[in-house]
Amino acid sequence: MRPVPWLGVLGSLLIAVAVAVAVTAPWIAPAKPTQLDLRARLAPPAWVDGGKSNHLLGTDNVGRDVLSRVIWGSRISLTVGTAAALLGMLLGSTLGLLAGYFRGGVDAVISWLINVQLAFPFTLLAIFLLGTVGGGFAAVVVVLALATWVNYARIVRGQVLAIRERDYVLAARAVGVPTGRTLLRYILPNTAAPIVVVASFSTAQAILTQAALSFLGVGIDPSVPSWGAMLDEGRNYLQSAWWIAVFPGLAIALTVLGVNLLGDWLRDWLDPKSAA
Amino acid sequence: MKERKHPFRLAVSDLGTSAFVAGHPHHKTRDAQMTTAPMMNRRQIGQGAAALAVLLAMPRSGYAADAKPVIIASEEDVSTLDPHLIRNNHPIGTVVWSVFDSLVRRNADGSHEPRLALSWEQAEPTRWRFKLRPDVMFHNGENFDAAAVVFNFNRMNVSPYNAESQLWPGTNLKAVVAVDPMTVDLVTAEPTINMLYWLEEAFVGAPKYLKDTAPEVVSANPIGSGPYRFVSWKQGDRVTLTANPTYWNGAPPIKDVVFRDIPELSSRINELKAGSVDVAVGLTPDTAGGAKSPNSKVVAVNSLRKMHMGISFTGIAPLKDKRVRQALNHAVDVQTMIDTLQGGMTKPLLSLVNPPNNDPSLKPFAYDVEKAKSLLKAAGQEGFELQVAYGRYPGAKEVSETVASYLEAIGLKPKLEAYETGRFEEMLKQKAFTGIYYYGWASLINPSVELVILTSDAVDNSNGYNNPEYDKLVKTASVTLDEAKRKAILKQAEDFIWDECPWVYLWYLPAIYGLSTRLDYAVRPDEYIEIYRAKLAG
Repeated sequence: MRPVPWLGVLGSLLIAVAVAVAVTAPWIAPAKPTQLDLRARLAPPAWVDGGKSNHLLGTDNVGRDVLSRVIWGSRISLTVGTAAALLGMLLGSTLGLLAGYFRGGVDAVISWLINVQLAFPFTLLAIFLLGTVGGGFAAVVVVLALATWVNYARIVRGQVLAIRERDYVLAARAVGVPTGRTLLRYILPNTAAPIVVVASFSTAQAILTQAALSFLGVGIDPSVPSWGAMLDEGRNYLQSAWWIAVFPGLAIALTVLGVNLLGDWLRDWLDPKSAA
Repeated sequence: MKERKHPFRLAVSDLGTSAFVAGHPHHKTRDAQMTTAPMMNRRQIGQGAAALAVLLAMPRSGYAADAKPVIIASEEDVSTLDPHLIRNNHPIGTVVWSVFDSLVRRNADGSHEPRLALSWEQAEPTRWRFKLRPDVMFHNGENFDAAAVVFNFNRMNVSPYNAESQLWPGTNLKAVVAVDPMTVDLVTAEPTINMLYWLEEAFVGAPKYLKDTAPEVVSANPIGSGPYRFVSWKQGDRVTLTANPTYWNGAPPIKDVVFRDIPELSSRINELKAGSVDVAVGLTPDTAGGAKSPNSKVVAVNSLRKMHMGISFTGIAPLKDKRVRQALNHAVDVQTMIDTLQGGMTKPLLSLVNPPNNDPSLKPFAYDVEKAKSLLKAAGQEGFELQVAYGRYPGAKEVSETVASYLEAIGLKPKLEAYETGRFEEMLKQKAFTGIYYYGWASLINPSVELVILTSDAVDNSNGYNNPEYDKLVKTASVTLDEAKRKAILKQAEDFIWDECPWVYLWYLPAIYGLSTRLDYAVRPDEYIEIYRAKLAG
């Protein structure tokens, strides 16, 4: 009997809240996230002296409701994070599968690609790519997928190298199962557990990197509320209006924490060796 | 001043070397010290002997022994120190003004003051004669004379210096002639009224040094005749200057000056409050309050820089209709933006000509949403999509977002676009924006020069405004010597362009400085810092 994985539950809970907020944003946000009110700018959170009840977490430097922007910002963070992790998964797993199964030249080329990618400072690459192709949602997702695919590729390759020598794979090859079918039917499912674990960590990484890119002012359209961009705006007001940066910062921290806790727990849970 | 110069971060320097240290062979400072030791009576003589020993050990007795260098913190480093490549008023302009002298100096109110020129006259309509100051020496010991002026001015007329120095195009200069060693004639193709103005930005460096030295070394190791000598430049960090003890006007009151590059505004403010910085440049209205401390005070002047949303004439069709451009001006509530975003620290633009030369009958466009809508309707241009572009400099985003939201309110579809600063400058140069863009026009105080920038062939015309009628007015004014007539033509041009709305008119950029309480200095509205005019208080 396993003990109750409290941290896993907490992680799931945090993610559930974030997803729920993102999905219901149009209904739960008290104001439009782009609604300016210059006369009410830099209003502190409601519980602080001078706070207004209609701006629960205060307003930013042009008088937009911070709470509404944090709520809407969850959409960008979660969609970009998930999409990038999935795209990276697709790319990385495929390449890892091929490298591990065929070995030899294919493996050499793909391993070389992995090493090149790992050796390159990613944020620099991302800024360069987004600077040349221009920003936009799709571009950011692709660039972040480029950041995460190596995680999958390395893990999957290692797994496949082991699995391909198992008896059932040898048996499948012996009876003439086509290579594609062997890969998808007999090998891929057995790498699923580590892929899921990597996916959770990659999502966290993608959310953080997206926030970092927005903070640097590249990527997502500046008129779309995003946590990273809010942090950037709030940076100059840290001493006078801390709430502009603190709440989106908290949102990033909690979401990433949630995803990481869930990933941790998944890893333990899926690892046959740790079963009690 | 060159129009695209602005206070914000520019492209980084192309210099590969990170530090240069000047070797000044002529250190004449030590000999002069003892003579200034104070007179003392018999009773004090014992003390005096000790004091004298201390005095003798001091490098310069004119300065307090414990005076720390005055440190000026800016949001960017200089990118060159070549006297003929001044790309921005601050910090490059400030350092060049300190190390070099021009023939004429511009005072904070735009009036002219003799520097290397003692006097001048317009001998003929196209010939200006300047009497030069005798016995002036460059920091490396070269002598200043008419030949030095001729060499320097001719250097400004060749590439790459002619890309930044505007003496020749600005005055229609044809030739620089040394009449005798202390007299120079400037001959222009046409009569000009802007001679002194552009001379004030034409700096004279040591001619032999400029001639015999590689350009990269010159731009990193400047030698002029100014109140300060160059000591060192550590790129991305600091420029160090020290007082020129043999300056013709006497050594400046402050001995050591350091220009530091501190990009982060909050760091500049924290260092100011901690007392490790004496001048913090580029404070914003929102942060000004936080810069006050027992060590520091905040000083604001209405700068002369005209902030606006430039309206592209090379982009989308609706903007070519004057009614649309006027509608944009009526749509934006400039006063509210000033009261809030600018902390009430500035005023709306009143004209394209800076005060006090502006036509007082011009009034800002009133905030009137209904009028804006009806103008759009009359022009048959409703609900179009519009680029709202901004660079990465402070406050640009909030202003652009606010303007965009006002434009949304009259039914347009603004699309915000952020640009990295270098890219933004490039877009301006190529007139590549298609909508409107947030920008600040340089700090000028000369109506003729201010109006030139919107003529069709001006190098700094960045929105592509092109109107032959306007070109003709400005051109005529610049060659009209009769003052009354010229003023009338300029006023006509000024009124014409105001009504044309080449910009969405915003405000004069408030120039806010944090100063340490130990410093006694009156800031200028045009961004230059004349540190040689500063004193240590008390």
